[in-house]
Amino acid sequence: MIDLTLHILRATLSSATPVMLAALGGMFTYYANIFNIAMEGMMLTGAFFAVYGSYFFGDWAIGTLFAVLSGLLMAALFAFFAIYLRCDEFITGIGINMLALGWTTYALRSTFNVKGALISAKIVPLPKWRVPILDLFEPIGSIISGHPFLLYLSFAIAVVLEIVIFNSRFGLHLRATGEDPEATKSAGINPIKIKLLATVLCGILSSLAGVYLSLGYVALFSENMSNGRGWISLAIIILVKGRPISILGLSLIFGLFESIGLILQHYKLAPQFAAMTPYIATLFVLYLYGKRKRKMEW
Amino acid sequence: MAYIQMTKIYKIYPPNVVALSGVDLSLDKGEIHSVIGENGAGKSTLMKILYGMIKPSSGEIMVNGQRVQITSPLEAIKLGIGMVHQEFMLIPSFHVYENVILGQEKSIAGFIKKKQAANHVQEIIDRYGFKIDSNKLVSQLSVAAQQKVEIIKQLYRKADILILDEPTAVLTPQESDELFEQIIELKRQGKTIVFISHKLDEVLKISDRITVLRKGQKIATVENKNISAAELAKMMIGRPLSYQIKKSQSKPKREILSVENLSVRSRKSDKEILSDVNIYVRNGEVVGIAGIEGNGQYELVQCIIGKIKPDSGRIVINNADVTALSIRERRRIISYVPQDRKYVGLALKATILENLIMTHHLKKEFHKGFLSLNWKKAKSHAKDVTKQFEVIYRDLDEQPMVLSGGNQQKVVVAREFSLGSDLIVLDQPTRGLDIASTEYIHRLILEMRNADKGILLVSADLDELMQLSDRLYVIRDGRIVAHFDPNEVDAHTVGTYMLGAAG
Amino acid sequence: MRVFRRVAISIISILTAFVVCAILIRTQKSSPIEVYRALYTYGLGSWAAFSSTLNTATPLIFTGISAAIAFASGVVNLGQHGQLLMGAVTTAILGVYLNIPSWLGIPVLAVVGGFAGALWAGIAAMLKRHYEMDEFISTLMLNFIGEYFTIYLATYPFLDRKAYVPATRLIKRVYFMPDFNGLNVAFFVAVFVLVLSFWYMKMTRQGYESRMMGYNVEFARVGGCAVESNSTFVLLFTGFLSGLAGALLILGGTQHRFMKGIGANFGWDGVMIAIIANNNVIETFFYGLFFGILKNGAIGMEFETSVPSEFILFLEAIIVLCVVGTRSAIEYYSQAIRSLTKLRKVVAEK
Repeated sequence: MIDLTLHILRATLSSATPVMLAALGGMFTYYANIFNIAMEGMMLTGAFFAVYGSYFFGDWAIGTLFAVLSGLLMAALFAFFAIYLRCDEFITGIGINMLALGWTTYALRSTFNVKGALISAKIVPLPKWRVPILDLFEPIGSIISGHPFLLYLSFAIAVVLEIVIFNSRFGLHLRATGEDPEATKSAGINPIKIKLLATVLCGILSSLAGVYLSLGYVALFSENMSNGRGWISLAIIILVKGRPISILGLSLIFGLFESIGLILQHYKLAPQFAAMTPYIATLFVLYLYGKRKRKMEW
Repeated sequence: MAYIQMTKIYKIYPPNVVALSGVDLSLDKGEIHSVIGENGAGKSTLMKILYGMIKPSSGEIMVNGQRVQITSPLEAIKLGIGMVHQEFMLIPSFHVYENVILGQEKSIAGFIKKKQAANHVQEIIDRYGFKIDSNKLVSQLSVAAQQKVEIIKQLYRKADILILDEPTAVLTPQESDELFEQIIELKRQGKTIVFISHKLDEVLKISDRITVLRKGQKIATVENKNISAAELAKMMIGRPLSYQIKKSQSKPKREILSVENLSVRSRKSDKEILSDVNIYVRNGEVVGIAGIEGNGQYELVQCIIGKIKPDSGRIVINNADVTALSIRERRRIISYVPQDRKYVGLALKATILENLIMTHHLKKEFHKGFLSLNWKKAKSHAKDVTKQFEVIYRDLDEQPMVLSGGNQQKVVVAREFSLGSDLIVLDQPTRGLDIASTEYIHRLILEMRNADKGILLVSADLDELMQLSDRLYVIRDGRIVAHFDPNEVDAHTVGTYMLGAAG
Repeated sequence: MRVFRRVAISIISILTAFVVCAILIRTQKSSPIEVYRALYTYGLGSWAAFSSTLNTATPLIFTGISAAIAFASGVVNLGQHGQLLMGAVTTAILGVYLNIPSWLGIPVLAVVGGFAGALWAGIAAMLKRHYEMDEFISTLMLNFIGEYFTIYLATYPFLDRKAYVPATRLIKRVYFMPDFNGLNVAFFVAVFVLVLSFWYMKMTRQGYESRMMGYNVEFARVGGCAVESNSTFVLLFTGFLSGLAGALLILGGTQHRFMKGIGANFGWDGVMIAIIANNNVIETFFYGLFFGILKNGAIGMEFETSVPSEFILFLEAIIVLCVVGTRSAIEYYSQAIRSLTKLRKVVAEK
């Protein structure tokens, strides 16, 4: 039983990471009042290019670099359509997501000549870190230590962003832009620049989420492997109104649901029901939130 | 040499609305220069160009004899130009000090020292004798206080030229007087002030020079010496101000609307927005609601049309209790002109026809068969009312987006007044309209009154209320604090009640 | 005039998309001309190709109209995928056990499938109405839940043990929908649904209210439209259409059973089609046909050139982005040009 709990908690951290990274990325566009639903697609291309780089160069760092570049490219595409050409943000988001799905599926076939999934020993995963001192304290060590380093980085990012958003110049400008771009412009800030920056940051963090999926969680790429995590991250952002530290908290809750679902598979629960848990959890949390919202209609 | 010289400024709003055509404006150092003109004359556009908010289609700007390109407000700020917009440019969820420093923050490695910043802003506030707490949220401030924050923002930025765009539009007469004193004080400190208004008495009171705009053209710049309001008005609208409202004594017989002990509590802030409001409207009268914006008049209207469910009290229309009815059911017996014509009054992307038959579509006469709408009937109705209400348009399939503001409002008014309801609720029916459209809508309101309708008129324009109303309520902090016959009081007295300064 | 303008903009946009794709095909070291020729030959080139294209387009038309009606009413139903699967699985299971004559069975199975889709959308409708949950996220989540749930049904309780992949048993042969010369009856149902949807949106009072809600929901609410019940109806109706798409895939398609992956990308394809059609049901129909050509032609393209059929999904996304981008750009530049000419005129007059 204790072993099981430890296992679940350890898996929780891991499951929470990609969702949290994408949500932190979307947090920037949320504050900049861009209705950005492209995290799903940015994550997927990130996952693909991480594998691509890692496979051909035999180095997770190059994989990560490729992923980040692809995130930048997706962000640039989003910005070109939604900000420069002034297309509807929602429509642009759907277009970008489909583009990511179409491209990765196609590239998987044309580059690696496989359908479905690429599993290969040539894919070098992210290195795992043993946290020096914590290792000595069981059972905390076995929960926290030994994850891919990106996990630790993302938790650190969440905390840092909490400070940045509410205490820095950039944070002030970002939140101002989202609330009223005209007023922000009038204060001598270029809201377009802020929106661009927010989109770019979203691209980087979402693609890192993809890296964690394909090189951290496992070492493979499969078609549509983001599988709705981008949407869940969007739900999280909306629920917590963008606050980074709450994103961290809620992501952990989702991670917990996912890992419980995975564990239950070992207890004769059909894998399909296990796979459903994060989505049901999302609906459930939204339901709780809706009940609260109803009480404070205005 | 002029301090600031704007030469041959043109502005075309896409696709083809001419806002300014070849306007010149020169400002001298240390003067109070008024720019007057009616709504739509191009005053705000001209000033937004000077402040870099809008790019001119052509024209040049010189500061101290140097040609400058003001491509963004940041450039303007660097040149010492500051602007207080008509619609405040404040972030409601930010603290006062955050709004003031926004864009000009002092920071260490990108981080702001909040306490220091707040103290610094407070110093400026105190120095100029404003009474505002720099740590308050802007959303908690009154409209007048928000305007002061805007001015403080410009002082923090050390603006030499201060543009005030219609600053008195949202103020009571008393608050306006206070503002004028502050403006004169700023002038004494050597600042140049551009004061934009369409209220001539104010302009004559404080300006050194006056520039008149009409329909995007500059008519004249005159010294404020030996010039009368009538002369200015003639320049402004191209004809003498003939406008005089004549109305007969109202002879109401029955109650059309009665609001009884209405209370509404905001669940978000747990504050009473309306407390124990009692008002009534009878047939053949215009009943005005005066109040500083945000004192509950908006919520009162929302309660009457059914968007907000009151916590207690009842609403009776034509002797029937409607408190429990939905908006849909109420709209069968209420005509309603909302304050926001672009976002509530109209669907800008639908066709004019579709806009005109809204609410009418609930009536039997526009039904065809079990489910369908009678589009033929709708079209002929639309043609009739657009003719009757003098809406100028090319095609009923056009979008209202292409119409001028005055015509858009006429579409709304045509739709609502042709519903034939006994009760007409008007929320800011003439806001932002030019004088001709305003006059026209005033005339229609009185026509409806003479046709024995009961009219509830909410307006921020005290003059409008004084002219049109047969009775006038004053609302403050969600309470009805006074009930007048407008013939027996003057605007100043009403203002006193709006401010809550009356004993 | 407006129709002409819209058609012109659509053609320019699609041409832009084809040019962009041609460049991308070149970078993949294939010949764009050959690819396009293959797409044409296998999508439109003969009656066999054309009827097959219409069959391929049928589910797209349903999900497209479903999305178009929802979006045009301001209801963001993105759950076509889940609704389609629920419709398909319900019809597939009932089709195995139901025992009534063919003339009655086919319509009953189709309608029951539609209702299964409506029910699935109804969950989102209920959550929206009673708990103010955004249908946009709830329908998305229901997609995933529906996907796993239907796979579960096909893998455990209703598994056909003789099949190689998780699938339900073949439905009774009497419930196979007939085809005429290769063109399945399902396509005519799609045409009927198109006419019905057009009538609903353009002629009925509720359709009018729905469209006004799509333009400006506050305007509609204050104008007395029944916003809440209309939204619920639209969710149920569009759910029904997606469910019907699924049912007809089983009754009319080629597999006649529910199996993993049967929903393909129909849900998102429908959403994309509705977007480029500007939520207009008539345009949706034609873009549905267009996407049908691409999908059907893709098989030939893979056969004739070295480009795998997966390329089409990518091409579709490019088309979406190009169409919306070109549309915005045309709008923006035509306005800019008009204001510039106006400026010249005004300056000259002075």
